[in-house]
This record gives sequence, structure tokens and C-alpha cells, in this order.
Amino acid sequence: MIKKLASCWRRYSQVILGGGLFLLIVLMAVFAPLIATHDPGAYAMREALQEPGPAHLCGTDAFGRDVFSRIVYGARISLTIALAVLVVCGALGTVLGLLSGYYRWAEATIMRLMDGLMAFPSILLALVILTVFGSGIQNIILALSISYLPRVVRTIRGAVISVKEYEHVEAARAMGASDARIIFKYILPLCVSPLIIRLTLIMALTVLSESSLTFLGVGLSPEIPSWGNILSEGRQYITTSPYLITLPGLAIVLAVLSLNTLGDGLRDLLDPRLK
Amino acid sequence: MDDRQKKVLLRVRGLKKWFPIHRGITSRVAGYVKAVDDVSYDVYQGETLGLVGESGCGKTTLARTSLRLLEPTAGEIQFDGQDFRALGRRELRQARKNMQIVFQDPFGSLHPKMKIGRIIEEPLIISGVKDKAARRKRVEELIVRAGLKTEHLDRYPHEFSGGQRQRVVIARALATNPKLIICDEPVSALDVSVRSQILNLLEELQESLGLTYLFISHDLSVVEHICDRVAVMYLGQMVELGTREQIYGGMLHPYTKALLSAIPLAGGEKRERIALEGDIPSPAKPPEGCRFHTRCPYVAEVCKTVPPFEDAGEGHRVACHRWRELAGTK
Repeated sequence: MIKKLASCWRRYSQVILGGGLFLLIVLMAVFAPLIATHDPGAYAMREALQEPGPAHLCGTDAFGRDVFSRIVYGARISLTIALAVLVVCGALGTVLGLLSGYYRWAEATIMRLMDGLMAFPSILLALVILTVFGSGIQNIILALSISYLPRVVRTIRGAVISVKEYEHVEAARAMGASDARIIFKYILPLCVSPLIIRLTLIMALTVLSESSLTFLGVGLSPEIPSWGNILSEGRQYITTSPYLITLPGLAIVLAVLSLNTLGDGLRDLLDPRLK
Repeated sequence: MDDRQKKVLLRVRGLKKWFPIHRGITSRVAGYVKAVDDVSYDVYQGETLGLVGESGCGKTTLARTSLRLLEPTAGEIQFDGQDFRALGRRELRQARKNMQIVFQDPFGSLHPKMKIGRIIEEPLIISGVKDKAARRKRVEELIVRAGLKTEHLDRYPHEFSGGQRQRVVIARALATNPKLIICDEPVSALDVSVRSQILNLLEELQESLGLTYLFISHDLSVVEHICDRVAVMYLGQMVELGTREQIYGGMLHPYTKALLSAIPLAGGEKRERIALEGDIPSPAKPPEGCRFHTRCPYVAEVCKTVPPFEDAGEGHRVACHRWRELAGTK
């Protein structure tokens, strides 16, 4: 019994730990009004830059706003953006990657387009898109998705090109399987691990890019508490009040770490060889 | 096999597969690798035709092209009386259930994330067997037939040995009751001890199901054991084709002689080795005339012209100008 539990734990530990932590963060975002101790936007100049203590769990920023409440509310914005970018990049990137890896005719068009996008540094590209379309959460999602899309496409395409040469794919062709069946049943399942790794990386990058965009003045307006926003505002006080950086930074680290662990665990779980 | 019962299952005429060589940024075609160059042969119903030759001589390409797994550059293919090259994409997919392949590498030819049962079921699903219970029943029948147990169906390929995996590949190939099975070096990746088991299984299945095999191998003793007729390939062309007895007993082409002299004899007997000089020429630039003339010990002036693939009697065909003169020599 104990042995069984132990082996079960060994198999699912990553998924349970990563998924559990991520679920906690999501719950924190959903129930932000119940968890936050203060109004995240309430200024209180007299209480500015207080160290973490019983009154303010994570201290206060230069305007006396409660950092803990801002981090809790920030999870809403940051997670929305990160997950949206993840989904858009994941779905679109997988489709484009599969197409360009499998079909010669698609490769020329899609990959030249992706190379074109990749020629710009991603932050610069996002900057241009936001300048054209204006700021706002939706546009940030759009801008970051476009900037990170080529990486996903490249990752998938590379995997497809190598998997395509496996004999089991040729066996499927010899059986008379349709292209769609070959692509989704025989090629895609073997491209999942690089995809998961790439997407968790993009998730981390998104949180950071959103803060960079805000810092450059094209992201969210400073009133909206996002992790990136809190971080870039705290930057000025890094020598006197380092908690302004470290605590929201910790939130980002935990979110990325949990998703990474979850992704790793899922990947191993999907691989029958590791059972 | 009795001559009167011979029915042609696969008829191939003038088959060519040229792979273009691209050069430079404009990827202009700088030439062609003539992997298969003007090959004609028949496969009779119920026989095993062996395809032998050095690696790189185009055996696998010939088999793949004959089934249109690679699109031929030119040539005619008739499968079971049907013009195989005239089929559209959809019809071709439909026709695939009549021909299957057993691959060389049993580790690469099974989907690593599919259970064995599903792997064997796939060709049935693809060929349109809708009834789930019927599929399951057929899968169980096949796995037993291939010498494994039904409880193996819920396992993954990595849990099996090479020989067992090859049995799964064979079971999968049998699923749709194909008429022709291409065995592409089916035992080369296996241990010697397992080899004979798989060969026996193939022979057994042929007998009970009336299968036709196109058997590719570079192992001449395996071919001698299992094949009814043997075709010898050199540099993208067939140089000799005949029954097992004709080839192993009275081969005519100098290349076949050199090839067969390399088989070790049992019991320490010595055989005169015919060692060929030089390397196999590049199939992108094959020698003019007889392709073998650059390495042939019997080369003469006439060999600078292309030899016909002529009948030397009783269906034994050979592509050599001098086979009559050389018939007496070793």
C-alpha cells in the first residue's frame, strides 16, 4: 500500500506540486478582493515606503499603497496576459509549425514571414505594434503573441521535420492514412515536449516583457497593478527598499516555476517510456 | 511454383526514380541521382522475390517507388491488373490496404506513444472498418497469429524486444489482408537467434495466407533461404533476375558472381573470392554503357555500350554483353 502510494507520488509529484501551486496563484487572482488587505489603488502618502510588517504584509510603495494587495490584484492582469499569449502562441504556432514542417509549399511562405518577424528584437516589435494600435490589455496580448509566435513556429517546425522522417510515419503513409491523420496522430504527439518547454519559457518572458513595455510607456497605465508595473515602479527604490523588487519578483518566479514544473510533469506523464 | 498458375501481381516496366540535386541559392537543378534507372520486373502471386545488392544500389528506392510511396519519375506500374500510376490521391490511399511494408528497424517503425493494440488497429480504422468489436477481435486474432499474446496488446512498444516488435510490425502489416508485403530488410536489425524465428513466421504466414513478398536484403544467405526468385541490383539497375536455383547455381553476371563469392561457406571450406576493385560509382554520374564495366574483371570494348537485359533461357535474365562467353568460367 505504502509502496504503491510512493510510486504514485513519484509519478505524479511534479504535476501535483506544479499544478497545485499554479492553482493557488489562479485562486489568488480570482478571489483577489477577499484576499487583499487593502485597496490596491488607495494612496496613503503618510505610510509611504514602509517595511513589511503586520499592518502591511509586504510593505508599502512610494505612494503608500499596500504592496501585498497590489501583488494579489496584479496576478489578475499578469496571468490574463501571460495565459492569453500562451494560448494564442500555442495554438497558432502549433498549426503554422505543423503546416510548414509537413508541407513544402507552406514552408516557403510561413517561414519567410516568421524570419521577417524574427529579424526584429521582440520587444521592439511589440513596441511598434502597441504604438500603432494603442495601449490596453488586448493590444498587449496581440503584440506579445505576434512577437513570440515565430519561436513557437520554429520549435514545432524543427520537431516536425525530424519526426516526419521516422519510419512509423512512413508506415502510416503505407497504410493509406490521410495527411490530417498523419499530422495529428503520428507527428504532433511527438512534438509535445519541445512545445511545452517553449511555452513555459514564453510564459515567463511575457510577464517580464509586459513590465518592460510598461516601463517604456506603451504598456499599461501605472494605476493598473500588474506584476510588471509594480516591479518597474519599485526599481527606483531598489537601494533603500529592496522588498519592492524582490516580493513581486518572487510572485513572478513562483508563477513561472509552477507552470514549468507542471509542464515538465505533464511531458513525462505523456511519455509511456517513463512509466 | 507451377508455371501455368503464375499470375502477375505486380508488373513494373521502365521504372525510374531520379532525385534532383539542387545547387546554389536559386536551387537550380544541377543533376540527378538516378537511384532507380529503367527497371522492369514482375512479381508473381504467391512467390517471394528477393532483391539483393550493395547498400545504396537502389533496392529500397525501387520497392518504395513500385508502391508509389515515392512518386516515380517515369515508368508503368500495374498492381493486380490495375494501372497503379493512374490512381488519384484518394484512390491511391484506398488501394494501400492491398500492400504493406515490414520495415528494417523495429524500433523506429512503431509509434512510441501508441499501445500495441492500437498500432495493429490503425490500418483497420484507416481502411474503414467501423465496427469496434470486430476490429478488436481481428486485432486479437492477428497478435496471436504473429506469435504474441493478447495481454501484450495493452503495452507500449518500448516494453518489447526487437524480435517481438518485428512480430507486431508483421501483425500490423497483415491487418488489412494485403496481397503484397514488402519486407525491407526485416531481419537485418535482429539478433541471429531471433532471425530464423521471424523468417519462419514469414514463411508460415505465406503458406497459410497465400501472401506475396518482395523481400529486400543484403544478406545473401537469408535470401537463398526464403526466396523463390532473386533479382540482383547494381547502381540503380537490375543486372540479373532468375529463380533461386538459376542465381545460386548458375549465375551469369560477373557482379552476381562477385557478390555470391562473398558468402562464407560452412565448415571452413574455401571458395575463390572475387574481390572487386574500386568503390561503387556515384549514382549521380553512373559510368557510360554497362554500369559495372569500371569494376568488372571481364571488361571488354563492347562494354562501353549499354547491354540489353536479355533472356538467357527459362526466364533467367541478365544484363551483360559477354554472359555467353563467360558462362563456362567461374
